[in-house]
Amino acid sequence: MASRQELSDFLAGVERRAFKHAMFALRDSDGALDVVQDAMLRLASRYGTRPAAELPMLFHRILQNAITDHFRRLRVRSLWTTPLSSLQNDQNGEQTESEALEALDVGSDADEPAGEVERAQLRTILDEEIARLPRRQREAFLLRYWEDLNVAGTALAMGCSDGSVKTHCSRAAHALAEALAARGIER
Amino acid sequence: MNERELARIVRVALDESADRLPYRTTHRLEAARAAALAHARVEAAPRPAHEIVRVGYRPTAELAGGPAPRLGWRIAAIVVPIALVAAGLFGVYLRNVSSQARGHEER
Repeated sequence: MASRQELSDFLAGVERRAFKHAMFALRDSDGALDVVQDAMLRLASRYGTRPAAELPMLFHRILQNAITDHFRRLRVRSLWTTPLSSLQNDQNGEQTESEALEALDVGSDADEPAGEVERAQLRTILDEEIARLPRRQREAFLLRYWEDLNVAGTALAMGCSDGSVKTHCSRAAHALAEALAARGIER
Repeated sequence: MNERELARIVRVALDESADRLPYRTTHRLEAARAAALAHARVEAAPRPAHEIVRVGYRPTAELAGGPAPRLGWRIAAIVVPIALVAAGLFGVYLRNVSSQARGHEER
Protein backbone atom coordinates (compact mmCIF):
# COMPACT_ATOMS: atom_id res chain seq x y z
CA MET A 1 0.00 0.00 0.00
CA ALA A 2 1.48 3.37 -1.06
CA SER A 3 2.09 5.79 1.80
CA ARG A 4 1.27 9.46 1.48
CA GLN A 5 4.97 10.21 1.01
CA GLU A 6 5.30 7.61 -1.76
CA LEU A 7 2.27 9.06 -3.51
CA SER A 8 3.68 12.58 -3.19
CA ASP A 9 7.08 11.49 -4.53
CA PHE A 10 5.47 9.65 -7.42
CA LEU A 11 3.37 12.66 -8.42
CA ALA A 12 6.36 15.01 -8.09
CA GLY A 13 8.41 12.74 -10.34
CA VAL A 14 5.78 12.24 -13.01
CA GLU A 15 4.01 15.61 -13.23
CA ARG A 16 6.29 17.26 -15.81
CA ARG A 17 6.36 14.23 -18.06
CA ALA A 18 2.60 13.94 -17.71
CA PHE A 19 2.28 17.55 -18.83
CA LYS A 20 4.37 16.80 -21.92
CA HIS A 21 2.21 13.75 -22.68
CA ALA A 22 -0.90 15.91 -22.44
CA MET A 23 0.69 18.68 -24.53
CA PHE A 24 1.53 16.25 -27.31
CA ALA A 25 -2.08 15.13 -27.38
CA LEU A 26 -3.89 18.44 -26.83
CA ARG A 27 -1.43 21.09 -28.05
CA ASP A 28 -2.90 23.50 -25.55
CA SER A 29 -1.03 24.25 -22.34
CA ASP A 30 -4.06 25.26 -20.27
CA GLY A 31 -5.96 22.17 -21.40
CA ALA A 32 -2.91 20.00 -20.69
CA LEU A 33 -2.56 21.42 -17.17
CA ASP A 34 -6.26 20.80 -16.51
CA VAL A 35 -5.96 17.22 -17.72
CA VAL A 36 -2.88 16.53 -15.57
CA GLN A 37 -4.56 18.03 -12.53
CA ASP A 38 -7.65 15.93 -13.18
CA ALA A 39 -5.53 12.78 -13.51
CA MET A 40 -3.63 13.54 -10.29
CA LEU A 41 -6.88 14.12 -8.40
CA ARG A 42 -8.41 10.90 -9.70
CA LEU A 43 -5.32 8.89 -8.81
CA ALA A 44 -5.02 10.34 -5.30
CA SER A 45 -8.69 10.16 -4.39
CA ARG A 46 -9.48 6.72 -5.85
CA TYR A 47 -6.24 4.79 -6.04
CA GLY A 48 -4.01 6.48 -3.45
CA THR A 49 -3.97 3.37 -1.29
CA ARG A 50 -2.88 0.98 -4.06
CA PRO A 51 0.67 -0.46 -3.95
CA ALA A 52 3.35 2.00 -5.05
CA ALA A 53 4.45 -0.32 -7.86
CA GLU A 54 1.02 -0.03 -9.50
CA LEU A 55 0.92 3.77 -9.48
CA PRO A 56 2.75 4.41 -12.82
CA MET A 57 0.49 2.09 -14.80
CA LEU A 58 -2.65 3.37 -13.05
CA PHE A 59 -1.67 7.01 -13.47
CA HIS A 60 -1.01 6.68 -17.18
CA ARG A 61 -4.26 4.82 -17.68
CA ILE A 62 -6.07 7.64 -15.88
CA LEU A 63 -4.15 10.27 -17.85
CA GLN A 64 -5.09 8.68 -21.19
CA ASN A 65 -8.73 8.53 -20.07
CA ALA A 66 -8.60 12.16 -18.97
CA ILE A 67 -7.24 13.14 -22.41
CA THR A 68 -10.02 11.16 -24.09
CA ASP A 69 -12.61 12.85 -21.84
CA HIS A 70 -11.14 16.24 -22.75
CA PHE A 71 -11.48 15.50 -26.47
CA ARG A 72 -15.04 14.30 -25.89
CA ARG A 73 -15.94 17.55 -24.13
CA LEU A 74 -14.32 19.55 -26.95
CA ARG A 75 -16.34 17.60 -29.52
CA VAL A 76 -19.59 18.34 -27.68
CA ARG A 77 -18.63 22.00 -27.35
CA SER A 78 -17.72 22.21 -31.03
CA LEU A 79 -21.23 21.04 -31.94
CA TRP A 80 -22.40 24.40 -30.63
CA THR A 81 -19.47 26.61 -31.50
CA THR A 82 -18.63 25.41 -35.04
CA PRO A 83 -21.66 27.04 -36.71
CA LEU A 84 -20.75 30.29 -34.99
CA SER A 85 -17.01 30.14 -35.68
CA SER A 86 -17.57 29.35 -39.38
CA LEU A 87 -19.09 32.80 -39.67
CA GLN A 88 -15.77 34.31 -38.61
CA ASN A 89 -12.69 34.70 -40.76
CA ASP A 90 -10.99 31.27 -40.76
CA GLN A 91 -7.55 32.26 -41.97
CA ASN A 92 -5.63 31.58 -38.77
CA GLY A 93 -6.01 27.77 -38.62
CA GLU A 94 -2.45 26.97 -39.64
CA GLN A 95 -1.12 29.73 -37.48
CA THR A 96 -2.84 28.23 -34.43
CA GLU A 97 -1.24 24.85 -35.08
CA SER A 98 2.24 26.26 -35.51
CA GLU A 99 1.80 28.27 -32.32
CA ALA A 100 0.85 25.10 -30.48
CA LEU A 101 3.92 23.30 -31.78
CA GLU A 102 6.09 26.21 -30.73
CA ALA A 103 4.59 25.96 -27.26
CA LEU A 104 5.94 22.43 -27.04
CA ASP A 105 9.45 23.77 -27.31
CA VAL A 106 10.11 25.42 -24.03
CA GLY A 107 13.84 26.01 -24.36
CA SER A 108 15.34 29.26 -25.58
CA ASP A 109 18.18 29.38 -28.11
CA ALA A 110 19.26 32.86 -27.14
CA ASP A 111 22.72 33.33 -25.63
CA GLU A 112 23.50 29.61 -25.69
CA PRO A 113 26.71 27.93 -26.89
CA ALA A 114 26.62 26.18 -30.26
CA GLY A 115 26.29 22.67 -28.76
CA GLU A 116 23.38 23.75 -26.65
CA VAL A 117 21.74 25.44 -29.64
CA GLU A 118 22.06 22.18 -31.54
CA ARG A 119 20.47 20.28 -28.66
CA ALA A 120 17.69 22.83 -28.43
CA GLN A 121 17.02 22.37 -32.15
CA LEU A 122 16.96 18.60 -31.70
CA ARG A 123 14.44 18.99 -28.85
CA THR A 124 12.26 21.21 -31.00
CA ILE A 125 12.37 18.82 -33.94
CA LEU A 126 11.63 15.81 -31.75
CA ASP A 127 8.75 17.59 -30.06
CA GLU A 128 7.26 18.44 -33.45
CA GLU A 129 7.72 14.96 -34.88
CA ILE A 130 6.39 13.20 -31.77
CA ALA A 131 3.36 15.51 -31.81
CA ARG A 132 2.73 14.49 -35.43
CA LEU A 133 2.61 10.75 -34.65
CA PRO A 134 -0.83 9.10 -34.53
CA ARG A 135 -2.12 9.19 -30.95
CA ARG A 136 -1.90 5.47 -30.15
CA GLN A 137 1.57 5.14 -31.65
CA ARG A 138 2.78 8.13 -29.67
CA GLU A 139 1.28 6.81 -26.42
CA ALA A 140 2.83 3.38 -26.87
CA PHE A 141 6.24 4.75 -27.81
CA LEU A 142 6.37 7.24 -24.92
CA LEU A 143 5.08 4.81 -22.30
CA ARG A 144 7.55 2.13 -23.38
CA TYR A 145 10.64 4.23 -23.92
CA TRP A 146 10.15 7.37 -21.85
CA GLU A 147 8.12 6.09 -18.93
CA ASP A 148 10.00 2.79 -18.99
CA LEU A 149 6.87 0.66 -18.64
CA ASN A 150 7.26 -2.90 -19.90
CA VAL A 151 5.09 -4.23 -22.73
CA ALA A 152 2.49 -5.68 -20.34
CA GLY A 153 2.32 -2.46 -18.27
CA THR A 154 2.00 -0.36 -21.42
CA ALA A 155 -0.77 -2.64 -22.67
CA LEU A 156 -2.63 -2.27 -19.36
CA ALA A 157 -2.20 1.51 -19.38
CA MET A 158 -3.46 1.74 -22.96
CA GLY A 159 -6.18 -0.88 -22.61
CA CYS A 160 -4.95 -2.98 -25.54
CA SER A 161 -3.03 -6.21 -26.17
CA ASP A 162 0.72 -6.75 -25.89
CA GLY A 163 0.87 -7.33 -29.63
CA SER A 164 -0.75 -3.98 -30.33
CA VAL A 165 1.80 -2.24 -28.12
CA LYS A 166 4.68 -3.83 -30.03
CA THR A 167 3.11 -2.89 -33.36
CA HIS A 168 2.45 0.72 -32.28
CA CYS A 169 6.00 1.07 -30.91
CA SER A 170 7.58 -0.34 -34.02
CA ARG A 171 5.56 1.92 -36.32
CA ALA A 172 6.23 4.98 -34.17
CA ALA A 173 9.98 4.28 -34.12
CA HIS A 174 10.01 3.76 -37.88
CA ALA A 175 8.07 6.98 -38.53
CA LEU A 176 10.27 8.98 -36.16
CA ALA A 177 13.51 7.64 -37.62
CA GLU A 178 12.30 8.51 -41.12
CA ALA A 179 11.18 11.98 -40.06
CA LEU A 180 14.51 12.68 -38.33
CA ALA A 181 16.47 11.41 -41.32
CA ALA A 182 14.43 13.67 -43.59
CA ARG A 183 15.46 16.60 -41.40
CA GLY A 184 19.12 15.63 -41.55
CA ILE A 185 19.39 13.93 -38.15
CA GLU A 186 20.93 10.47 -38.41
CA ARG A 187 23.09 8.93 -35.72
CA MET B 1 19.29 4.05 -36.32
CA ASN B 2 17.67 1.13 -34.47
CA GLU B 3 14.65 1.38 -32.16
CA ARG B 4 16.70 1.33 -28.94
CA GLU B 5 19.10 4.01 -30.13
CA LEU B 6 16.23 6.20 -31.27
CA ALA B 7 14.50 5.66 -27.92
CA ARG B 8 17.64 6.75 -26.08
CA ILE B 9 17.90 9.95 -28.10
CA VAL B 10 14.22 10.70 -27.61
CA ARG B 11 14.39 9.99 -23.89
CA VAL B 12 17.33 12.36 -23.34
CA ALA B 13 15.71 15.11 -25.40
CA LEU B 14 12.33 14.76 -23.68
CA ASP B 15 13.92 14.72 -20.21
CA GLU B 16 15.75 17.94 -21.04
CA SER B 17 12.59 19.43 -22.41
CA ALA B 18 10.59 18.47 -19.31
CA ASP B 19 13.28 20.00 -17.10
CA ARG B 20 12.94 23.32 -18.92
CA LEU B 21 9.24 23.91 -18.52
CA PRO B 22 8.42 27.54 -17.74
CA TYR B 23 7.87 28.57 -14.13
CA ARG B 24 4.18 29.26 -14.74
CA THR B 25 3.68 25.64 -15.76
CA THR B 26 5.77 24.07 -13.00
CA HIS B 27 4.06 26.28 -10.43
CA ARG B 28 0.62 25.16 -11.60
CA LEU B 29 1.76 21.54 -11.58
CA GLU B 30 2.93 21.90 -7.99
CA ALA B 31 -0.41 23.43 -7.02
CA ALA B 32 -2.23 20.59 -8.79
CA ARG B 33 -0.13 18.04 -6.90
CA ALA B 34 -0.88 19.72 -3.57
CA ALA B 35 -4.61 19.73 -4.39
CA ALA B 36 -4.47 16.05 -5.33
CA LEU B 37 -2.66 15.11 -2.13
CA ALA B 38 -5.25 17.04 -0.12
CA HIS B 39 -7.89 14.75 -1.61
CA ALA B 40 -5.82 11.59 -1.16
CA ARG B 41 -7.48 8.72 0.62
CA VAL B 42 -5.80 8.47 3.97
CA GLU B 43 -4.74 5.01 5.03
CA ALA B 44 -6.99 3.68 7.77
CA ALA B 45 -5.12 3.41 11.07
CA PRO B 46 -5.06 -0.15 12.43
CA ARG B 47 -7.83 -0.63 15.06
CA PRO B 48 -7.36 -2.53 18.32
CA ALA B 49 -8.65 -6.11 18.30
CA HIS B 50 -11.29 -5.50 21.01
CA GLU B 51 -12.86 -2.77 18.84
CA ILE B 52 -12.96 -5.06 15.82
CA VAL B 53 -14.73 -7.74 17.89
CA ARG B 54 -17.38 -5.22 18.96
CA VAL B 55 -18.00 -4.11 15.38
CA GLY B 56 -21.00 -6.43 14.97
CA TYR B 57 -22.93 -4.55 17.66
CA ARG B 58 -22.30 -1.10 16.27
CA PRO B 59 -24.95 0.92 14.47
CA THR B 60 -24.34 1.67 10.79
CA ALA B 61 -23.95 5.42 11.37
CA GLU B 62 -21.10 4.78 13.79
CA LEU B 63 -19.39 2.33 11.45
CA ALA B 64 -19.60 4.94 8.71
CA GLY B 65 -17.68 7.35 10.89
CA GLY B 66 -20.64 9.24 12.37
CA PRO B 67 -21.25 9.91 16.07
CA ALA B 68 -22.41 7.02 18.23
CA PRO B 69 -26.11 7.41 19.27
CA ARG B 70 -26.92 7.83 22.98
CA LEU B 71 -27.82 4.83 25.14
CA GLY B 72 -31.43 6.03 25.53
CA TRP B 73 -31.95 6.05 21.76
CA ARG B 74 -30.40 2.59 21.47
CA ILE B 75 -32.80 1.19 24.09
CA ALA B 76 -35.76 3.02 22.53
CA ALA B 77 -34.88 1.57 19.12
CA ILE B 78 -35.39 -1.91 20.60
CA VAL B 79 -38.23 -1.31 23.11
CA VAL B 80 -40.57 0.88 21.01
CA PRO B 81 -41.12 -1.61 18.12
CA ILE B 82 -41.65 -4.46 20.61
CA ALA B 83 -44.17 -2.35 22.57
CA LEU B 84 -46.06 -1.47 19.38
CA VAL B 85 -46.30 -5.12 18.31
CA ALA B 86 -47.46 -6.14 21.83
CA ALA B 87 -50.12 -3.40 21.84
CA GLY B 88 -51.36 -4.55 18.44
CA LEU B 89 -51.61 -8.17 19.58
CA PHE B 90 -53.44 -7.09 22.75
CA GLY B 91 -55.91 -5.07 20.64
CA VAL B 92 -56.61 -8.11 18.46
CA TYR B 93 -57.11 -10.23 21.59
CA LEU B 94 -59.61 -7.71 23.09
CA ARG B 95 -61.56 -7.58 19.86
CA ASN B 96 -61.84 -11.38 19.74
CA VAL B 97 -62.97 -11.54 23.36
CA SER B 98 -65.67 -8.89 22.85
CA SER B 99 -66.98 -10.55 19.67
CA GLN B 100 -67.18 -13.92 21.46
CA ALA B 101 -69.08 -12.31 24.38
CA ARG B 102 -71.51 -10.72 21.91
CA GLY B 103 -72.10 -14.14 20.31
CA HIS B 104 -72.96 -15.73 23.64
CA GLU B 105 -75.45 -12.93 24.44
CA GLU B 106 -77.22 -13.34 21.08
CA ARG B 107 -77.67 -17.06 21.71
